[in-house]
Amino acid sequence: MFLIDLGHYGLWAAYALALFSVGASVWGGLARRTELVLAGRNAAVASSCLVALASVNLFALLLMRDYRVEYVSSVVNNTLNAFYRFSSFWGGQEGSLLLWLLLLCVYTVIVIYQNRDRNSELMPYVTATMMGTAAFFLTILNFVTPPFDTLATVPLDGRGLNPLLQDWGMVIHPPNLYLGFVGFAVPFAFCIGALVSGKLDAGWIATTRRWTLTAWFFNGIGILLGGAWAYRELGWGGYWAWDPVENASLMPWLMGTAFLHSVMIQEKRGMLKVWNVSLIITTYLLTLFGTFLTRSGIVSSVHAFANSTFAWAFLAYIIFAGAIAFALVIWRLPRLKSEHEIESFFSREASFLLNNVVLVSITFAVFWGTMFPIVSEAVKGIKVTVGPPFFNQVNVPIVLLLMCLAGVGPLLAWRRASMGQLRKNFVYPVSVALITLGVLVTFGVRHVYAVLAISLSIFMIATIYLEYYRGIAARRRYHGDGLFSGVWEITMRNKRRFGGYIVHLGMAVFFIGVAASSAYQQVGEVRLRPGESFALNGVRLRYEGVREEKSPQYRSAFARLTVYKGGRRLGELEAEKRIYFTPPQPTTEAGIRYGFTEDIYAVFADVGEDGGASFKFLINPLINWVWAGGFIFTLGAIVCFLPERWGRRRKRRPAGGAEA
Amino acid sequence: MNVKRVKFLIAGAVLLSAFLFLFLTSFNSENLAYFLTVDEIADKIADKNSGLKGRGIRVEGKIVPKSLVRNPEAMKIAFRMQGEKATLPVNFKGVAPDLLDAGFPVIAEGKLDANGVLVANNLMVACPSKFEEMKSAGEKVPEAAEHKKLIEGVVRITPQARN
Repeated sequence: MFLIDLGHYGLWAAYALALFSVGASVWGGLARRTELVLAGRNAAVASSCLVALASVNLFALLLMRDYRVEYVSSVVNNTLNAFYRFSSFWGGQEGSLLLWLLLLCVYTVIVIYQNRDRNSELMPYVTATMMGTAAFFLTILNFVTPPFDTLATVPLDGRGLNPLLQDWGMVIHPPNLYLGFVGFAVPFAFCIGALVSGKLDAGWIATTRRWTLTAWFFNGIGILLGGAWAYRELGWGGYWAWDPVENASLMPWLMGTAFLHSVMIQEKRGMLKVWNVSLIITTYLLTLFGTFLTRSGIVSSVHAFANSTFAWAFLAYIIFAGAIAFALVIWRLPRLKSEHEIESFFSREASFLLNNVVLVSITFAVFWGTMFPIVSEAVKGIKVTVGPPFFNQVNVPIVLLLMCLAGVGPLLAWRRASMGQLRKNFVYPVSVALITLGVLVTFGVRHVYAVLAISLSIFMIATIYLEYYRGIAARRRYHGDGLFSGVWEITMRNKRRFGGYIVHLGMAVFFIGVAASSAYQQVGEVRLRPGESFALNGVRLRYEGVREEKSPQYRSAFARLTVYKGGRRLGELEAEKRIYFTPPQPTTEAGIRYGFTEDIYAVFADVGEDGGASFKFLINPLINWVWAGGFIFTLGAIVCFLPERWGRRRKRRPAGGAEA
Repeated sequence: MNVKRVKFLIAGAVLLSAFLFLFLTSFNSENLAYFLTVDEIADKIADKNSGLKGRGIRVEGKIVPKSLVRNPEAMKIAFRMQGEKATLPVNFKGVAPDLLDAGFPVIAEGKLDANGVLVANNLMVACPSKFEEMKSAGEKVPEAAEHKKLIEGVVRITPQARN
């Protein structure tokens, strides 16, 4: 019982320490009493250590299959291997909340360490805000969903992890998303610190730049991994359905994107101060709102969890935290004045501002669409849902505008761009985009949005290419750099700028994938007997028969298919149907033939006595570009994150020394 | 107020009205679906001029036990959804989701035909995370018995199974 008790009481002690930390930090900060601030800080570290201890205990209990613990017996069973026993930590509600709290505590400790000698005026309130959030999670973990509750009778076998979650995508998707959600708490905490202490310059933004970037990056990667998991594991051939759960993870990311752009204006020009604090507060609240939305059952979702009382605790906390934060903003309004005004439409500021309006509009549309059933029920007494067509119809035109801005914005000068600069920067990219448009239309692409999206993506890529081209040409002239060393050097010398370009490049590739795969997806459903085949968009799939396999956890049936294209045999494809033993549950493992131009996707539905089987086949054009875009996005975010000095060539030899 | 400010205000107003226009026009009946319970649909069918005809409907509920009929050859499925007072017949053609007959709540989207049958174009099973909640609420955990049979069928016809 030692580990269980230690975890259980550890969380209670952590709770007490977190509450003490909030009180001591705020009081110490306001009364300027250093010993209280230090006490609050130490209590925060101690509380975090206890949370870490409790988490380690839960990991140990899961690995040892200690079925006395109710949570362990509900997510683990005798056949589950060590890898999934580890990941089953976040396979259920209690563990997910503990993981969230654990990450929050890790971030808190790092923030405290980084700022041990810096930002001393802000830090008491930063600690208090982080620990306030932790105290909220500890309230739920101690009172509503305790992870260390034990069972009266110990079962011989556990109920096992949901088979759909037994996939590497689902192992790393939740921690990524949480790393993102939790990360936004750091800039939020510094924002609160700046508001309370009155140090409202761009200091808190500079301090938290990497934190915001980290949160935004993990949030984005979490969303992508979720999409990749849905694509491979759920067998409907898509990756995004505008379900409330998905929307809940997208909204903070969109607001975070807006924030990342608009803080640059505050750093450079001292503008948009009220806007920035409002953005980060909203982002923080949206990270919590998603959990409320999905757990409360107020909106119907395929992913939804049954009504949980703790969802309402989330809502109460969101209202509480939002009220305090916005009250602080209103109190500080007189000191949040802009230092400058926008001077021209053709300036970096104007384009970033527009980018913000666009991103907030998309967030609003997503929010409205998600909440619409509740609104319509309150107003008209009937629940009306809006589906993917609504979200696509509203968002696609706005996203096209966003892509246009992503191409134009980074190349505009601050304050005011001259006609000459505009011509110099945009003549080539615009021409390339127009040629793309012409080629696409000539070759029969008639889907308006797809044509526009692909042309705009090419425009974005061309602007980035031009920037690199000029930089490399200059370096070749003055330093004799080759192509690769040139790319490396200019990227490493301007990490924020070129990292941003790489992220934009990722977005362009991503949007090409999204446009092509959503506009030109081909679907066919058919019943085939062995030896029969089915043709779809130039691809012929021949059904050969079924074979069976057994593993300790499940039994599976494979439908064997041979793929032909244009009379040529491309290879074999096997689509699988599994049935797990505990819990007894079938899953579909789609057979996917990944390709640069298209994925061939086969779902095996069932098989009859005569060997006849039902299939759903899909051709998804350019869908791998979506994931490739995500990969480039990752690279770009990493470049932005790297320390300023990292990766630069060491000091050059004195003038006259030849370059190697 | 200077000229520049007026220009920016006008530009902002134009942009916001464009978004608003886009937003409002997207709320057309094609994109909307009534989210109703089985009983509400039964009431509306009884009331002839309720305006459900041709409208998209989304309904969530459990399948009436043993009402599920599969016709694999034609890839068709028919079942009834359980309400408090009434039941709703649902027809679907295509590949059905995995856990359809496992006792989980089902979400069906489609339109009513003249006979009051919901012709679904989309069937979803509420994600099995509900599973856990049902267990802790003491409900009977559903067994995917039908599917077991299906796979056993596979085993019978493939005696050369490996492993």
